[in-house]
Amino acid sequence: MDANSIPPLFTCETDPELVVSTLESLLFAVYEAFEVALPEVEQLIEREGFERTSAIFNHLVRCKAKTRLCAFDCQDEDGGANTLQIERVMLDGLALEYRGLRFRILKGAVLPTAQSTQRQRFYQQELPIWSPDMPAPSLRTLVILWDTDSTWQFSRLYLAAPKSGDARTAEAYWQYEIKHPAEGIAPPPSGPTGPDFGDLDNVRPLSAPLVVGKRE
Amino acid sequence: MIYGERIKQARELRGFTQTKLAELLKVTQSRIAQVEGEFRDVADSLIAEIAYRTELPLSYFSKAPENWLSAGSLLFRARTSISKREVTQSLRDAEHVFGLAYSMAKNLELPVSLRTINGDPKDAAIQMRALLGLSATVPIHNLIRILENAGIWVLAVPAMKGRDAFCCWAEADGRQIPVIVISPDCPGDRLAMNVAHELGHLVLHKNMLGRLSPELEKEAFAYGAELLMPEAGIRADLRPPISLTRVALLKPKWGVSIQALIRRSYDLNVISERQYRYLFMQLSSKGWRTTEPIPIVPEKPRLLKKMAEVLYGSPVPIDRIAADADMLPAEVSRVLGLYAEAEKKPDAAKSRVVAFPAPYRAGK
Repeated sequence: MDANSIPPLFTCETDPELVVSTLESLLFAVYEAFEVALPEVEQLIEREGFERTSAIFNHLVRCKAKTRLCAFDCQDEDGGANTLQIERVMLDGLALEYRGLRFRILKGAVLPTAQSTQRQRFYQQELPIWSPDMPAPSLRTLVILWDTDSTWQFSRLYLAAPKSGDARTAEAYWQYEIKHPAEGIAPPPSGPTGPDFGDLDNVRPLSAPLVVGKRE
Repeated sequence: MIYGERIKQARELRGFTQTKLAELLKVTQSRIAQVEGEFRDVADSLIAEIAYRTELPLSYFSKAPENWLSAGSLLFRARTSISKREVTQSLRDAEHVFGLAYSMAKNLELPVSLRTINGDPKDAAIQMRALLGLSATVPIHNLIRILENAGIWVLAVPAMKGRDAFCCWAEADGRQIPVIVISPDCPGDRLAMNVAHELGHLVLHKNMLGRLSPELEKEAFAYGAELLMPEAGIRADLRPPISLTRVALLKPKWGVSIQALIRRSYDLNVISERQYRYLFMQLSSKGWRTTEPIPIVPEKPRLLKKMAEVLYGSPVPIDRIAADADMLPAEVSRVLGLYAEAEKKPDAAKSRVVAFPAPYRAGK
C-alpha cells in the first residue's frame, strides 16, 4: 500500500514524544538491528581483512541492519497497513515504510544536507509551499539517524522530522534522541513471584517453651 | 563484671579505632587499651560513657563475649576490596545481629535441611534445586525466602551497606547454623547473585571458608550462575545474536543483572570472547557497569522478624526484644526494619463464603 494513501498519523507540530511512543516497536527493532549489526561488521572486517573506511563500514552496517530488519515482524493488530516495508538499500541509506510514514535511515548525529532532488523532496514533507495561516502540514517523512563513537561503536540513535534541505543546509522540525530500549523495559513486580513456601511456617515455638525475658 | 573483650567488640562494632574512642571519651588511647585488656578496672562513669558512645546498653558489657561467627568468605573479599577495619566492623555487626537472632532462636524450633554437596559446582547447583523442590528450568525470584525455609539464616546487617555479602557456618551451643550476611542496600539483581554465590560457598566449601582462593571463588560463581540461570532453562532464551537489548529483555524474567546474563552467554559459549568484550564496552559507555536500567526490587529477608513474631507476638514489642538481646530499642527497631513483614494474603476462608440469596439466610 502506498504510504500517501494512509491518513496521516501526525502533523509536523505533533509532540515528538508522542511520535516516538507511537513508533516504539519500530524504533526498538531499528535500535536492536544496529546494535547487532555493528559488532558483526567489526568481526567481518577483521576476518576478511577489509580496509577500514567509513564508506565500507557504513555500507556493511546498513546491509547487516537490513537483514535484521527484514526478519523483524512489525505487523500491528490493525493488519497489513502497519507492516514494515523495506524499500531498498541505497548507497547512502536505508528506506522504510511503516504506518503510512516513510523513513530514511542515515548515518550521523545531525540531519545531513540534501544533495539530491530526491532527498530534498523527502525533507519537504507534503507541502512545498506553506504559510502560517494554513493548517500544520502532515508529517509524512522521518529520518532515523544512527551514529558511532570514535571507536566505531554504536553510540546514538535519533528520530528527526525533516523540514527542508538543499546541497548546503538541512533543517528539521525537531530531532529526538531515542533511548536505549532497555531503558523502556518495565521492571518486574516486586514481591515473591516464585513458588509459595508459605510464611516460614516451620518456625515454631519449642514444644516446652522457655520463659522469655529476664527474670527479676 | 565488665568484660574488656566486650568493650573491644563494641568499639569495633561502631568502626572506632582505640584512638578515636579515646578522643570521644577524653581519655588516653592507652587507657582504652588497658580496659580492653582488663589490666585495669573500669570506673562506672567510664563504662557509662562507653555505653553512650557505642549506643549499647550497660548490660551488653557484663555479658560474656561470644564469637559465634567466623569471617568465612568475608576474608577473601577483604583481600580484594575492603579494609581490615571494615571487615572487622562488618563481622562485629553481623555477630550483633546474629546475637539478636540467636537470643530468640534458643526458644524456637528452626529445622536446618541444608547439607553440603561435594563435586562439580554445576551438578551441585542442579542437586540443590532438586533438594529445594524447585523445577530444573525456571527462574527463582524469591531465593532468600526459599533458603530461609531450608534453615539458612540470611541476615541483613546495617554495617554491610555498600558491600556485597559473606557467609559462614556459625557455631552456637554445639549447633552449626549456615549464615549468609547481606547488605541492606544492594540492588535486587546483584543481591540474588550474591546470595546464590554465598550459598555455593556454604555448600561446596564448608571447611575452607577461611582460606578461599580465586579457584574457589570461580566455583562459587559457577554454582550461583547455574542455580539462578540453569543451562536447561536459559539456553533457549540466549539465542544468538546476543545484543544488550536481548539480554535486557531477559533481566526481569531471570531476576539477575544484564552483566550476569552476558557472562552466562559467554560461559555457555553463546557468544565469543570478542563479543563478550564488546558488550561490556557498550555497558561501560552507557554507565551501566555501576547502575543498570530495569531496577529489580531487592528481596528482604524475613526470618528474624518471623522469629520475633512467633516468640513475642505481632506487633513485636521492641522494648522487650531489646532487653532480652542486650541492645537498645532504637537499634532493634532499625535492624528489624530491614526485614520483610508477613505477606498479606486474601483470607481463603472468607473468599470461599458464598452469600445466599436473602430468602435462604439462616433464621429467615
